[in-house]
Amino acid sequence: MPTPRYYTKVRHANIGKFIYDFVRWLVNDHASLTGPRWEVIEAHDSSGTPSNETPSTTKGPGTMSSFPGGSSFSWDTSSTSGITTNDWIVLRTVTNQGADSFGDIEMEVYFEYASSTTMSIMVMPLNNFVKGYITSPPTFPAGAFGSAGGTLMNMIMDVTADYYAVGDEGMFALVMDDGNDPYWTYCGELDGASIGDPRCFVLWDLPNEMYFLRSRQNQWTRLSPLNNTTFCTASCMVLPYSAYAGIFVTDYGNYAQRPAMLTMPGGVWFNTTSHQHFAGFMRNVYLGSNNMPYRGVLGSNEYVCFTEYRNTGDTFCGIVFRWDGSTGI
Amino acid sequence: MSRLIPKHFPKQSFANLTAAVHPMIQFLTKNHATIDGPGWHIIEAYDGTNRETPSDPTDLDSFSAGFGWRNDVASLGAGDWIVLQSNIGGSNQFQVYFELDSTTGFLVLLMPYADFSTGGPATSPPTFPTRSLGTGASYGSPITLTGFTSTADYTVIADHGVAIFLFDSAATTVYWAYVGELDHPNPSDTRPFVISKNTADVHIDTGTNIWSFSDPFDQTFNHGVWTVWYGVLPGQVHESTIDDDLLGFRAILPVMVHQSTGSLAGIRGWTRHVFSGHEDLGNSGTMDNRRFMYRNDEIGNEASLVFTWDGETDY
Repeated sequence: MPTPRYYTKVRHANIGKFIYDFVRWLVNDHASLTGPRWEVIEAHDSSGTPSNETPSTTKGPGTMSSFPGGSSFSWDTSSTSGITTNDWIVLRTVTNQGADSFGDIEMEVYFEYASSTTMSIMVMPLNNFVKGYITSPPTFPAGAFGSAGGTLMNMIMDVTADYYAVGDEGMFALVMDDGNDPYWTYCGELDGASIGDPRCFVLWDLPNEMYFLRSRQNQWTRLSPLNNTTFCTASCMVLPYSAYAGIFVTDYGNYAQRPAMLTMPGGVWFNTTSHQHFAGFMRNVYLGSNNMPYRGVLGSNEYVCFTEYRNTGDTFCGIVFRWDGSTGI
Repeated sequence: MSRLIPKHFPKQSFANLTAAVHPMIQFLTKNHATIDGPGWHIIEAYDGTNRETPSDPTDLDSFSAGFGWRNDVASLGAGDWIVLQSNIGGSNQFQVYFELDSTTGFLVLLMPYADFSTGGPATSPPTFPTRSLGTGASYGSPITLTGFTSTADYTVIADHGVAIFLFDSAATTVYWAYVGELDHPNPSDTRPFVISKNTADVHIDTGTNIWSFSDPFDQTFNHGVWTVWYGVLPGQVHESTIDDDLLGFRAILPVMVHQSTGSLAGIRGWTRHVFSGHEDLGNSGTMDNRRFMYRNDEIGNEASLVFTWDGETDY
């Protein structure tokens, strides 16, 4: 089983500060939080000379202080300026913490400090990013997708916010919460994928909808496992359904009477014509009851729950992250 | 988790229901000569003449000599019954009443509070506890699993806390039942014991009143339904007109039981060893090198029942 790691409610004044801190966590070079140990492929400093660098240590402690340019390179921890808009970095997942390689089933993810309020993401499910492009954004390889094939997916945060994430060797899920208009996404592997689908990498591409709405469509993007060329965006959640009242089940246990709010897995369906398939279940992210609080912990901090602040009724499920068992929110 | 590994009484052929009942009970009580079972305990039995409690609850041969349920007698007739108790290992057990009601009727009654009273009159049926349940809309009556007067296949899949029966004669003449625990209950639910009541619906039936159980907090009778996987685009994933084998592989999905009302209204738990398969799988077969077996009496219309299987036996 992949090992979940936690980015436990870190407050940042702006999204640029977050992006840098989050990348440090993903590569397990964070000052205080253990991360999943993804690998740096290449980073781009839009005002640097040279603009593109790869650190000598690509993952783990010391990674972000091993860029050849040192303090003159914005992604290096010794940089006085830090990253600025148009800076980007490409990371690669790992699937085995020990050997750092387990066959040819990694994906790459592009993170860009796109503007003072925006982080852009691109998933490269074929693990085929080509280094050396000095533009921002770079040229992406075949198969790359964000909100659609070849289109970046943007997450926006324009004020001080709390950031929460759970991630492991093959996925991360992230919440950006300003207490008013939160964003979230899920990026990476699903569990329970078909044996015919070794690159089951998906992206939640409606980041400003922080709930699972039963009637909602097209929240997910991925590259079709049937041909590795077709982009699938027609999609929906696969949720539990009960014949009683014909409703989706959002209330797993009666919270008022039995204070043990349980969670359930959520599946992902892709509906692109001739590519329809049940892709799998989210990992480390679960469905929560619509009765859950906007923000809260479940059990002994084993799970944290999130829903929109503008909770409009009982038609959607809250979002639950696996959590570290110790850190409250 | 080893106690949750199921034992299989896999597709055993018998000339008729009467011949099948005693071997199935031998299996459940770990008394079968060749097929290992889950070791449910024997509480009491009736052989048409006498009503006895065994001296050793694990040994059918600890009934008195000549008693019909003994391994060395194995002679049953209509009305003979036996009560077994689960072997869960914790403090809360359930009991199940089994009766060879007729040449075609096998009765099953769940006693979720394990409160069967031994030592009563030698009658059939005995007096059941107030909160025993099976069919119907309230406490009281056993479910009837229909058996056959001609040769048919009888399957039991069981572990220490659940038993699943499949009586199978032909493509559309098949009956099933699930009695025992659900997985992943609410942590405060210490008696997640259920029984399926629609024995003739050998598929994931999305109708109502599929399950019976007792709410352990207020002891009220309650109904349940299947909870399946549904998306706005495909509809019910395993009932969808869209097949699920584009990738050359069919998904097996877990399924749940939903309690309608009461203090545990909501998901009561997940069925163990029973999963959902696509409606187009076919009437019967095995998957994944016989690690799963499926059966469906309404192919093309309702999702299939998929069971954990023994890895060896064709179906």
